[in-house]
Amino acid sequence: MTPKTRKKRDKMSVEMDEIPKITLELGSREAEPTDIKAEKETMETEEKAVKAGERIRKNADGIMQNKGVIGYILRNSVTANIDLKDPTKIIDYAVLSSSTLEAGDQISEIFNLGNIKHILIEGEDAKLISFAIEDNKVTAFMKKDVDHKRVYRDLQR
Amino acid sequence: MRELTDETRSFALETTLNEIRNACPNIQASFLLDKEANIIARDSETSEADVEQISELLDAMLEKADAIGGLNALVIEGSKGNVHLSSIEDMYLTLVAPKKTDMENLQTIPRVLIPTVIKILDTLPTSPKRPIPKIPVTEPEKMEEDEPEEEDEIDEETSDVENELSSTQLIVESYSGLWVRGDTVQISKQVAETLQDALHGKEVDLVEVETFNGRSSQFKVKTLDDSKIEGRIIRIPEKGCHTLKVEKGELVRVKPIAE
Repeated sequence: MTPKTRKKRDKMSVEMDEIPKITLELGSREAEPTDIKAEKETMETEEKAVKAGERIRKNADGIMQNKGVIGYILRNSVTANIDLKDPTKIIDYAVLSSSTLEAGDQISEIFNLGNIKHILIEGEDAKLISFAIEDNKVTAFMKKDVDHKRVYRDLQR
Repeated sequence: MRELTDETRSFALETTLNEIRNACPNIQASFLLDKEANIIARDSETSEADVEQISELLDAMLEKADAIGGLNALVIEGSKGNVHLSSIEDMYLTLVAPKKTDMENLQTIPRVLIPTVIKILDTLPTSPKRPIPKIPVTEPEKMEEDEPEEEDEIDEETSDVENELSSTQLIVESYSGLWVRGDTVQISKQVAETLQDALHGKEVDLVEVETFNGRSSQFKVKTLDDSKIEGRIIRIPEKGCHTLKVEKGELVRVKPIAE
């Protein structure tokens, strides 16, 4: 190989190296609108979730007036609202609420139940109904004789 | 009255779940757990791994459910299907069905059938499944050796009688394993000696096992030390039990065969 040709090749390789740089620049230019779009979507979802959360909280405050309703736990990625008539049970109820929703998701996956509408657990003393709307996970606790279907409807309004 | 073994109960309940599933084709899965979330029975179509997972999940839930006075029922409504877990007797029955199934209606048959089966199981004695006469091992009657003139006649008659008398009633125990010979039954030394007496002291290598349903089969004999096997037991290989259609705890007649 003559020195002349080597020089030519070196030049070529430099040129080749430059090409990816341009592509990268183009890539970064394209990424900008996607990021904005995704960010917008996230914000919209968060806004929706916040609005849904506010609505559920209002409804939950409403059902607290009903006879037999013991309390509710409402939480999303940002906040948690707990209103229980017996505050000594806050931890127990919070643990039960989160494990119910977690177990529900896993059972749904095992038996291919699709999206969970609601989970109902009945105990000897009380019962609970759990469900999720947007990012909000809500659990309402009530005495056994309370119509849980009505509570569910009232919370979802 | 002793209670039936867990194995027998599980088998009966599994059969019940299978029958329920046949009657209600909407059921996608059905199983029974005890109040500590241990698996009791599942229908044959339901995956064991799935039930094990549910058992673990439920086990974790049980403690937490103390806050509401324990777990009596659990209902999950999904967009494609539903899960209903409810208390029956001292167990949890779980039914999985598609979305539009009327779960209240679906539970009617299991709610009637399962308690009935349990009630029947509770009234049954455990092994042996059939009442056993109180003769532990039938001693063969020794034939008198006098009156030599009528020997031939008597021989014919007595051989039938001897056959009847020499049979020993034993309780079945099935056994299986990698090295188990399908053509050999195991008996205790005590039983072997009794059978040997019936053959006038000859060693017993072959026996005929006859069930009370009239099925019979011949087996080779392996004698075990009395410490390893109870006197009234005959261990029949699983395959043999299947051929004879006998189960653990049933009574069979065992006759020695002279080679």
